[in-house]
Amino acid sequence: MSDAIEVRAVSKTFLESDAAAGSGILAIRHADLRVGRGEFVSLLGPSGCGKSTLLDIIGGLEAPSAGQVIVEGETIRGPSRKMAMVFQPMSVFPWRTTLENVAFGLELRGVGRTERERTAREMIELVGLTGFEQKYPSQLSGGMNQRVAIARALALDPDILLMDEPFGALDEQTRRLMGLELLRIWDRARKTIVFVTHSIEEAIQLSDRILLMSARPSVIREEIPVPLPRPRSIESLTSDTAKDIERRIWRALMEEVGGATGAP
Amino acid sequence: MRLKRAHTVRAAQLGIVLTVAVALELLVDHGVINDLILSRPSQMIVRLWQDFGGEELWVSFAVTARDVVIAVTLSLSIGTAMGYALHRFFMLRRALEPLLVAFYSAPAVLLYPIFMIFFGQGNETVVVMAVVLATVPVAINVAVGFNSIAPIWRKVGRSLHTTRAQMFFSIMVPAAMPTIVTGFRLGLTFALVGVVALEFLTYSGGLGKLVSWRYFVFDTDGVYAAILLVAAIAIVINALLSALERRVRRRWG
Repeated sequence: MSDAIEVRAVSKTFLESDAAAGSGILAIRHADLRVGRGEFVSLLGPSGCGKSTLLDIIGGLEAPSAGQVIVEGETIRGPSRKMAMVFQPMSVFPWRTTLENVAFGLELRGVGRTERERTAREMIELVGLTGFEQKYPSQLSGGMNQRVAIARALALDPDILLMDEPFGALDEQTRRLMGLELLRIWDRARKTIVFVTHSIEEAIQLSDRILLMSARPSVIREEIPVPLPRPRSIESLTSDTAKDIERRIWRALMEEVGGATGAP
Repeated sequence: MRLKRAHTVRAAQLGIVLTVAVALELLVDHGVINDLILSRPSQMIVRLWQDFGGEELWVSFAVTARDVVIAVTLSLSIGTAMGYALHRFFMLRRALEPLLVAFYSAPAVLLYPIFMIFFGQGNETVVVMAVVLATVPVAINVAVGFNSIAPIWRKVGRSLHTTRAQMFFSIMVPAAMPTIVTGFRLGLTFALVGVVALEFLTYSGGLGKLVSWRYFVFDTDGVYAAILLVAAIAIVINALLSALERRVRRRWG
């Protein structure tokens, strides 16, 4: 499997606005990672560990302070058409209907109305929102709005989807169901996905591989493969293998917390 | 249920207006209030009806309408541009916003003599002063609207490669729309009030001057008929724009 994304020695320092010149907060220290084509990789870590920052750097929204990101063989210097991002809830535009939201990216690219609406309708069908084309976000549930956001990203036909805690604000049940939905969509659309989350269950449910990030300054602390069969079933997710993975992640997290508080 | 409550509120409002009208009618009738100071509500309406048949009211109305249209057009354009500048240039906002808010709350209309020195005793003063009054709420609301755009929407825009123009027209303007509409409603109300008040003070034509003239000749019924008309126009404009505002806000969630 060739690499879709390669992150080489990326560091990120945020300058503190009121600090003396040259000083700053080190958010990410020397991150290295590779994501294969068609792979589903999660970045898992505690809140504020810089995983969203790393995703923004991959997506070209933030420049790394050092190192580089290579996507499909090209160094990233800004947002690329090969990638589309899905953000946390309420990234959909409340003044646009489902159809207009999904067609938004194509509209920006100057795609004609007929064509962009056709594509948008296909994507709406893919995420299971047929019948809701003319509804506004305020008329839809949180889960449905996240489907709209996913369809908006998919409409651009990117090779790679970058997802920043897309289901973070949903209740537990909706979140799990959305996870299954995402796997179904991923199976049909065959994209590479990098998925940022702070939920261990969610990472295990979805990923081929989990990259565990430490607290700030964050490094990629451990790489945990998830060798569960696909499609993921309740059986496989409650199997001993799944529990072993969860235990392993918990152990690493406990060490992390212990290290942070100075305990042995 | 909700509809029923809305009906009850409407009925109560109507009841209050009618009660006050009847009370005033009785007070004037029994000589408690001199009818040179306040005319009977019934007389106001009769007089307004007669005025509709005449020419004087319409001539004044046309002048006021023209001045309001000019003042509104200017204040909305200038206010929007100023609001955007306030949003765009942080230092400008830090420096100007407190001043604008202070100006907004001060009775700036009292500055009219200064404006008369510069613009003369004509409709120029009226329009300029109304623009000065109405631009401020527009600018403040436009700035607030742009400043409170959820950062996530701009991030979506950046991730989609928007050009500057696309970011502005496809994301920022619609995102700020609810607050901008509020600013426009206030701007329109301020422009109308400003024009009529200045016409009244500078005696330069329009409905304000008509009221002023009728006061002068002790035409009490005429004064209140004209005031009633101005109030009715203001209420209708405000109601229409409030309805628009509610629609936008509901849609925007």
